[in-house]
Amino acid sequence: MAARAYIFDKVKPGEKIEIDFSGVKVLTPSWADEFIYSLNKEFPGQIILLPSDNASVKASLEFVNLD
Amino acid sequence: MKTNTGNKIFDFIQQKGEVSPKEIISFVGLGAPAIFRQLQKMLSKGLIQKTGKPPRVFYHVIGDKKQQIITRAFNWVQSPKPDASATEDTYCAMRDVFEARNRRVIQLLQDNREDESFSYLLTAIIGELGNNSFDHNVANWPDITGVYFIIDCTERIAIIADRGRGVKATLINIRPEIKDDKGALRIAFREIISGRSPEQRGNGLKFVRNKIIDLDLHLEFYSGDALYSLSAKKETCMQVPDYVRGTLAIIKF
Repeated sequence: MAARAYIFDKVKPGEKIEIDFSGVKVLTPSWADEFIYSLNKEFPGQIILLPSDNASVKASLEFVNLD
Repeated sequence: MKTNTGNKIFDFIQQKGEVSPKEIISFVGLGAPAIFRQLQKMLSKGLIQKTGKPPRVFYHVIGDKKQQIITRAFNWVQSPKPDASATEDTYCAMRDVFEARNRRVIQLLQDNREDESFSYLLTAIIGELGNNSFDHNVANWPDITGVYFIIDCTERIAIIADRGRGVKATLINIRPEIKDDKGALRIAFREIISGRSPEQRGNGLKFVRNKIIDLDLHLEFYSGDALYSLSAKKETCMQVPDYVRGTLAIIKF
């Protein structure tokens, strides 16, 4: 809700949205599913997930479907 | 040699895992002096130990600490009315309390010489299990809300439990063909399905399953009259005599 209120209202059509997981220690697939899936539904084809070395980020993102 | 009364008290403490003097007196039905004489005998023989300070004193059987941890968790999830004051270190009434305690797990594990990746992944597994309890019982808690959460890095065990509706009740609306708790657990851990369909979710327990195998951990997950047991080498789902209305997950790491 905070992201939608302060960030995503300014996204232009076709503009790429990069999600940066730097500094994230623990990401769970439930959170990733809800946040990223909703974003992808609203901005199809515009979401880029930046690579991360964090084990929980990598493991959780395996379950996120951006198709 | 323990007397019959002594045996009765010892068995009661062993069964419960941790008991107060008041519970023993109530159970045995003798006066406090007789009970405390028995307790003193067992303490001096090293059969039991006493922890805490008056008025919060508890007795435990000396021995398998891991089993005591498990027994206490089962007592919380199965008793008609758990003693909230006895579980204030483990009971998380609200999600943010659980999440705050789970965040401390990272440092706890690293202080116990676990590497960063392992600490993040185990915290994520625990987070999924605990948040599932809140997500699937919103506005539907049968009695006590929240989760029971304990982690012991020396015994290498973590337990997350709730007194919610259980897995079968949360899945049966979308899969009415589920016949029993065993069937519900099999589906919950093997299929992408959500009791909160059509919300986009349902991967949590698959993630837990994958990571338990990848990290070579051991999971026992109880719900209803079923147990789902998982390790890198074996995966089983069976009916068990101990009934857990909500869920109880034991991770050995």
